[in-house]
Amino acid sequence: MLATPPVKTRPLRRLTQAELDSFLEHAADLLRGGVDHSEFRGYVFALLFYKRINDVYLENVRALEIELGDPDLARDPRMHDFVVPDDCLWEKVARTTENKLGTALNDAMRAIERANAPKFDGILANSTVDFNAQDRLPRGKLLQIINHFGSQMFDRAHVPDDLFGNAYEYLIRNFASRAGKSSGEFYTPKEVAFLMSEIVEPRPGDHICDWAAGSAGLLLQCRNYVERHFGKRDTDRLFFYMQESNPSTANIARINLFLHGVRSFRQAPPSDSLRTPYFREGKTRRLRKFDRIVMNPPFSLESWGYDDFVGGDPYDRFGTTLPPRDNGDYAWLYQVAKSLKPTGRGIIVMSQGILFRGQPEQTEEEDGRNQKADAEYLLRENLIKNDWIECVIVLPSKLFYGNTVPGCLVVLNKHKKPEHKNKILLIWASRHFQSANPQSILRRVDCMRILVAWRAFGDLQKCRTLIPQHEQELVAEIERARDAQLREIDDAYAPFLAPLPELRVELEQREAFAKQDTPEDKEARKKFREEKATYTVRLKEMRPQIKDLTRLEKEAEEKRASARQHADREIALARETAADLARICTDPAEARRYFAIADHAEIEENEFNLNLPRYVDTFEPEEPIEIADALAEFDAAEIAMRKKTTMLKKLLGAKV
Amino acid sequence: MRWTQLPEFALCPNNWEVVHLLNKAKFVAGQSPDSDLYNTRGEGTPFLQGNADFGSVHPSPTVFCVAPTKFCETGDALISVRAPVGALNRADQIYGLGRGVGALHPTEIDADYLYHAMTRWHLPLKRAAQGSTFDAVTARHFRQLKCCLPKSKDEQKAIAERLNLADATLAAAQAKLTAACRLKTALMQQLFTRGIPGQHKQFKQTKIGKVPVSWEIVSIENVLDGVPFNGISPQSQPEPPGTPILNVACVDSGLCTTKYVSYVDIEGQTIKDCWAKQGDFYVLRGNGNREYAGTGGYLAEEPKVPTLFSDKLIRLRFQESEVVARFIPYLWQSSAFLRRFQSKAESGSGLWMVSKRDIRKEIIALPTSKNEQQDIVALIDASIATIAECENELRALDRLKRSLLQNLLTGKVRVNATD
Repeated sequence: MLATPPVKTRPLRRLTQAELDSFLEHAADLLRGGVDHSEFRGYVFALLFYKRINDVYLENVRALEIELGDPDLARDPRMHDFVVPDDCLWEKVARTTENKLGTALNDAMRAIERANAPKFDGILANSTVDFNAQDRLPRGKLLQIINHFGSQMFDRAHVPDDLFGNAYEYLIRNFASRAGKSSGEFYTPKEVAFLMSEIVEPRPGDHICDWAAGSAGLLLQCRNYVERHFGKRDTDRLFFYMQESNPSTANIARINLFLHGVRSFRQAPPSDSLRTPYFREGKTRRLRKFDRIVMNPPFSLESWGYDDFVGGDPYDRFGTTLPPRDNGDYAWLYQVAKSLKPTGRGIIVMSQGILFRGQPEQTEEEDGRNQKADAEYLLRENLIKNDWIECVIVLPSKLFYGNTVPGCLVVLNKHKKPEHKNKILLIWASRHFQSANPQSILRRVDCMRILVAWRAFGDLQKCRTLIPQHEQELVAEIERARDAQLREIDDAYAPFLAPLPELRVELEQREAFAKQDTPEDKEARKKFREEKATYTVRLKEMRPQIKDLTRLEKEAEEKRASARQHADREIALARETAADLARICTDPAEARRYFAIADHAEIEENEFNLNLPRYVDTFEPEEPIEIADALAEFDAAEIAMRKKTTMLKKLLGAKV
Repeated sequence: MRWTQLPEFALCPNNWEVVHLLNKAKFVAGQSPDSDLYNTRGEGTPFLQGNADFGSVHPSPTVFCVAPTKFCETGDALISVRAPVGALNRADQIYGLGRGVGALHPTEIDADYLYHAMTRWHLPLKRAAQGSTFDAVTARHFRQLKCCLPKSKDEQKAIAERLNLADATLAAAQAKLTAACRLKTALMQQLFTRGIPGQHKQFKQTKIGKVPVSWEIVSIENVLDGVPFNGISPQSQPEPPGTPILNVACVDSGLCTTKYVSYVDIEGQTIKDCWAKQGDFYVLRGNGNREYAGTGGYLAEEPKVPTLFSDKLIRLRFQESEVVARFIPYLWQSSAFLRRFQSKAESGSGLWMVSKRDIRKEIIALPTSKNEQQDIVALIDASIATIAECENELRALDRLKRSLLQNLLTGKVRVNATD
């Protein structure tokens, strides 16, 4: 007899990132329609977090039980990083009857917080998430979400930490793209955040602040930058500061940082950063100074607090000129400028309006009326004269959620290199992006175009040496991502596909046996028939198993092929882009179509107007045509035309 | 009348017959394979997806397909079968056909005749098209198409030959028009930077490039008569009654016309300074498309009734003592100037705007001699007249072609096959 290995027919395997993403997307789908999406957000994020800690806790308990052999000891809180009290386990709470569910959830959340104080304080139970508030989250929807999350294990065996962190960010992004502007959030796309981190270059030990932190995506990208360039261990040496006015978003930010393992951060209580900046030097009103600031504040905020500061700004940000009443863009810029250390660097997403809004003083003779210089003109002039602006990058339109206005990145640096002094690098990056609906995407290759120009500070010679290096890095990164993806697929499928070769061999042998001629000998024939009967049973059992596993094998192979194909395309694109960049950087006139360095004299001549087309050649060049050539072409065309007309007349002449 | 009936069927002459097209030709409906099989790198067969790939006569596809399932052959008539339905092209090589395109392959009919005969179906097919998301026609429609056909193949050939020649003449006229436009572009490029060819030997380097030594660099405000002036912005409506008002639609290709004015309900006397006058130059203050922001139009004719202008336009008047009429309006069209000026346009929220201040500060190179200015204006006038002439020619030929289609394809006018 052949051995019969145990086979699971419905494998419960580890999820891949894509699968987890689509699982969570489905959760967001459940909430479609009805109330505003942003209202639901807090609930989904809280429940997901609850399910996660529940499953991870139980997983830890199981592991300890096996290790220690003592179920009571395994549940001892001292053995755990965090605990979920027995009454608060998901299984129990989720089984509560429908009309007591809200209360049960609220109680469980509070109990978990108490049991773990102060670790989860304010994350699970807070004013924005009340499961009894039916007007905000109808019970039907709540049940649907609980059932949906209940159908999936979220322990580390199924969903490793980094996978869950990524998926959580994915869900944030998903909500942002659905809610659009209505939620008042201005979520920064991951690709832009990546670019910002590469420009602002945080170092281990840095204190990094985001005055409009949202869900902390920009800060996390700074952490990723340090991991990429210094190593994972150094990521713990970053100190984050965040302030956010929307309480539910601030909450999500905390969970987000927690899930990514960030422990060293300070979060201001939900409040308005312009009216009441939280991070200050001791008990004074002076703003605290940071090494790095990354920020994507709302564009052109209308009520930013003008009236509060019209009598003077206690935080000493604006000097004598207050930003205009109906536009807070310059308030943010000055807040960053004034909260940077003398060696600090900041990067801010701004509406392009800040580059040119506001006119200088005009006389009656010039304009038909006398007019004082506008506030924004003076504020910009002051920033430039202080030599704080190092670089401006104009981004493609449609990159941001909920609005199509093209934004720009402004790099503030109080400690410019001597060779950068009194100069501003201007990069026109709006030509290259991947067009998509509703959001366009800034691809890694598009970021490469910007980063090469930035790191060389517009120096073509330097650009040319940087290009191959960037190309190699990008290709290596794509290959790493591909290999990781392939590994992920292997990890997810391999355990279940392992018995397949053996099964196939067995199947072959058994089928071969069944095809044998029946022996002549009576005794042997009897034995043969008996054995054949058992074989038939086994075969019946095996065939569907093999079919299932073969399908799974095919599925894995398809996933592998598509991962490889995707990577190949990306690599080809990277090479293409590098070649194009090399072409651009050999011709100064061509390079001027993408970036330019403006010195302060030129900017002053342009009345401190930083609108990029003034410095960068943003139009498509017109083909030069010589008059003599054009005349000759016209003559030829005229002759040809006359010939045809004559022929046509002749042919028609007889009859028409 | 049913859409399948053409008026000529009733008048079919001797030795002609009304036949179902599909008895004389084969219809091939396109099919779109998986999008993975497409590429833009030139691998596989050039692939027609629909009307967008059609050219004036022959298609110009942008994608290729490694495994198309339907093909046309050289000489086949190609018809767009999805919205917009009915456009016609001629296959100049083998193409793969996507589901937006159908091909008629001649079997017992002269290929050229078939192609021209299909022009008669352009409008009826369009009318017959149906569909839930977009209009489309199917093989069922094509089965119902008929045409008037001379029984003699020679006569078919003779008719097609004349129509082919008419097409070729049209193409030649189009080429002539294109050449005339290129000539104007060349003039625009050179006259305002180097002057009239041969007149200047020495050039000087200036902020805005090389210009003849005798020219001077001035800013627009030096040649302005008064300050740049915004019009008014009351509620306007597209139809009378009311006072006509010039708006953005009136400015096009360097000219401002009163053809597209809208109307405002304003008593004439209350407005002082917003009346349009012959010789005014209007600059578009803002536009969603940067190519249009800052372009200008010259009001060549005095408006027949008092006409206002809107605040979307900035009015410029020039000192006649400094510049001859039309010189600056023409210069405004030259790409060297316009691009320089348009690069001052600003867009905070999608609309590109230029300011009066930018206009005043913009600099130009000006021939000091008014005679030279006049000569340059005259050259461009002549070039514009040539273009107009070519356009007239093209229009006339187009009418001739249509008349030939109406008469030759219906047998109303017979041609001698032996000619």
